[in-house]
Amino acid sequence: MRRRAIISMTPLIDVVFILLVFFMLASSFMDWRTIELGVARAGGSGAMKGAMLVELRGDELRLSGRTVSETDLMRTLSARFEKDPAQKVLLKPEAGVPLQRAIDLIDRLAAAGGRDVSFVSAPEAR
Amino acid sequence: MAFGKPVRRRPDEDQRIMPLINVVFLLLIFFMVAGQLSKTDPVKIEPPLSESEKEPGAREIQVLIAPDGRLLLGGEEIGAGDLSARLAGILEGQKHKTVHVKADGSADALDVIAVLDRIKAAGVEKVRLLTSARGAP
Repeated sequence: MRRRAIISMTPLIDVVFILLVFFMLASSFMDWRTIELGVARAGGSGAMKGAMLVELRGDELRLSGRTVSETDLMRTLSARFEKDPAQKVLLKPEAGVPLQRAIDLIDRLAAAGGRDVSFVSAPEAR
Repeated sequence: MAFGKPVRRRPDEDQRIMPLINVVFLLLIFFMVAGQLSKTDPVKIEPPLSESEKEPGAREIQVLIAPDGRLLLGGEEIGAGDLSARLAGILEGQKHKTVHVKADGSADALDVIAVLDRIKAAGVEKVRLLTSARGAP
């Protein structure tokens, strides 16, 4: 015995296709992650004490005012983090540096063991 | 018989498209379950990639930063000066004072920092920057 369809299949397929197209277009498969960020106030004394300042320039990095290569920076900071895991690092990008570069550096600092990385806001931004 | 044929062919046709419907249903269920329906942003924002493993929780308050530095709060454009006051108003009486910032990866980092600073000034406890997971190399 052949099962008889009570309703016709064609409208059902139409509706299902429309739903399928809707969900394909409307859903996003973005894999979101977050980074928690602190912002230290430049000029404030408490937050800056004992912190290492990393300046992010257009094409160079500076650690406490001295130009360093990235491998040197990572080596210095890894050693610091090993001694004191709570070592603060302040990140100060120059104007024009894209956010992606700053995030890349935060990633690498986190990989080196830095737990307290925050940005420094320029005083003139307020 | 002349008209016996079409009557008998209908169930045959149904049988033939059954696998198609099965596949389409499976696809439909996949997209319904795996994808997230979310409101699209009024501006196109490419979030920066990061290796962070923390996944965002509920994103109730979200500040968008467009590549050119424009700010959007709750879908409408807002001036940098109004941000603190508006956020403070929204946050009043809320328990979890968490704000998510969705900034474009090519936005000026200093602009983003200035915005973060303003958000902090509004009394927000946690500011989280949304990034997208870097694909496995």
